[in-house]
Amino acid sequence: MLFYHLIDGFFLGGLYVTIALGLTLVFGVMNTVNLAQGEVLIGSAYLTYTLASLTHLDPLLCLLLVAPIMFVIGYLVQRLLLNPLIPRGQETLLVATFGLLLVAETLFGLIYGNNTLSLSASYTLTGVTIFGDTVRTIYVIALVAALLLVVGTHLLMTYLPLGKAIRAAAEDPGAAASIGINVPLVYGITFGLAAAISAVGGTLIGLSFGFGPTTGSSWLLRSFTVIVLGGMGSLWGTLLGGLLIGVLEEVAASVVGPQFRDLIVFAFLVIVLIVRPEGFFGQRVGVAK
Amino acid sequence: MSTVSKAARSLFLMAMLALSMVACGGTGGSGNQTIVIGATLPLTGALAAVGVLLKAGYQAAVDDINAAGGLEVNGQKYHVNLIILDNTSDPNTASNQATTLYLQDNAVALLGPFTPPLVIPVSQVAERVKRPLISTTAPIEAWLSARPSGWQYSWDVFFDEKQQTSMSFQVANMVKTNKRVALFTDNEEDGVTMGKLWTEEAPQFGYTIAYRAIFPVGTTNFSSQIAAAKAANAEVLIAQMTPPDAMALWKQMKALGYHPIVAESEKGSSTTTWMQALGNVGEGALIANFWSRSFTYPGSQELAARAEKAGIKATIEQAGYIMGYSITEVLFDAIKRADSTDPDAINRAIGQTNKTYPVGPIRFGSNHADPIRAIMLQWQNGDTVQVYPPVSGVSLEAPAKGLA
Repeated sequence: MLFYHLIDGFFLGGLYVTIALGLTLVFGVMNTVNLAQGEVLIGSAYLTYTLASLTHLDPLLCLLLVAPIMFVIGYLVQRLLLNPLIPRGQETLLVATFGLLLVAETLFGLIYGNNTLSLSASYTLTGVTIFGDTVRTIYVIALVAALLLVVGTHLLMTYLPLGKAIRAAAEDPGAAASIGINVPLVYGITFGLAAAISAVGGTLIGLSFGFGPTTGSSWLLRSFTVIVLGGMGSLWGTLLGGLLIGVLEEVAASVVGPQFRDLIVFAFLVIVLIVRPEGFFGQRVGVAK
Repeated sequence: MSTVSKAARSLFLMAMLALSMVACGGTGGSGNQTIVIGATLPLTGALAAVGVLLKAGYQAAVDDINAAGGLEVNGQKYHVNLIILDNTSDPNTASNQATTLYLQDNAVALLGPFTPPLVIPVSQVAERVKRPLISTTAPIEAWLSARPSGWQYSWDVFFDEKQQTSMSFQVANMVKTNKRVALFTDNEEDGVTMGKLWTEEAPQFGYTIAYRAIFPVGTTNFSSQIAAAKAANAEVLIAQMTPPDAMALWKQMKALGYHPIVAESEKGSSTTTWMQALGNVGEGALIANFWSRSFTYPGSQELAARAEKAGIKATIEQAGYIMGYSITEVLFDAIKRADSTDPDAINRAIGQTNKTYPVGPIRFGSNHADPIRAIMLQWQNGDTVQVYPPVSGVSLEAPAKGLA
């Protein structure tokens, strides 16, 4: 039975990776915590919901349009709102993203109402058998998506000129600017990329569970847990952190009881932070060797 | 000259004071033509779906009394000013808003939010400021347990959990099962109280709680609990959880192949959101309620028709509207009986309530609760129908269609 819970948690962890990856990217490159990350996720779920309702296309297929839209929204937010605030320091950026959180929550409520919504697809109601255990098909999809996103982001950062520019801007914005890198543009692209990646996580949330205007905060908390555990801003840390949290949640819920799940997860997080304050992989994505 | 000027200034100040009192409503009724009634409701957030139904019911009752010329107190007609604030489903906000409504807006009484996490903090405020509050949809035992010394100014109209929990097994008895129950409850007050009662009541009806899951509100993943319920071979599922959590559970049960014969979703399936979010998967879910279309209490059917006109189409949502309307009428009747806007007099008059309202007969016990009779509804073809006590032309669908 414990083995089955490990499998369940492993696949659930994949979903957690997809929701935390955007937060990791923004922190890794800009050293900024985006408090509106939960709203980026839920906003993507709403956008997918709208498109799927209008076109009757599969929600995952809608991502082909939702992800670019989220990229543009993210890019514009960074260029028009956050970039001008960078000289005022991290606190200002934190407050600004908190403001975005509140604005987004209100807008979601006004546009979509306050009821819980959910994305429909046949595979959300089916399971697949893996080593004798039935796992939700959507969790399997989430894990595959997580691996693709992490590897894809890593390749982008390591081998493409854009990735190199992002890394340069992350390591030393001043030096990057002096060699001709347009740092504000790089920041805009990074935030846009983070939003596009989060579109995958948000759509998976909508498919796996339900979502409403205020559910973003709980996903922000979970994203934080994942990236703090893995190492703030680390890609591979996010992968490890997500999978670990998934497994830990499942095992804690089954062995100790679901009412103690959060207690155990956060107690584990505190212990890790005491023993290894930088998390498992301490290096930020932009400055990782 | 200066005496005249002083007198004019005094008159002006008195006039401004009088104007501000009129603007603020008031409790005294000394020449004041408005009575303020307040409500802090979850109009956004997780509980918004039901909050808007109560709001519509409260407002309809207030509109009716004002259209009839107002509320007559001590030979004078008062316009009723209903102030409704959105507590965003947050208990702290609800508590703060209740204080504001009582002390700043001078509300003579409040109409409640619903569910214990919101009703209890607002009830505590009512006790503190010594002004009445009438609430609903707070299961009575959970509400009473929050104040062992007893409520003095707070009143609750809802069913008693014992009757409700017994009913769960009476309904399950209508079909053949192995009498093994999987019980899923969250850790809110009503979840804790109901979970305990279901556990206590089960053996009396020959049922065994084969698996018990307790979890925090906001839990999204239930894989391990579903696996345990399946392993326990539980053919009866009883769940008490918030709508988002319940919807996640139902989806996951379907995906993981757990097919209980009887599936009850208390709280979770209390609005049409249930079917909108789940589609066919939500079919067959059971939920206790206090009103159905088979009820013929005076004004009941007319109110249902009005609710429908206002866009509230599902039976279970009309029930919320009718309950909101009914408890507002309870308050109006109490104010008329008290023939005063004095909160203590109104409070005493609420205690004397003994009348049949559109939702049914309401009469408070010495514990300030009115245990109205619970009935069991089932989601069938996108609407709720009464399956217990049985009514002609309707039968319990089992196994639960959406999960089969």
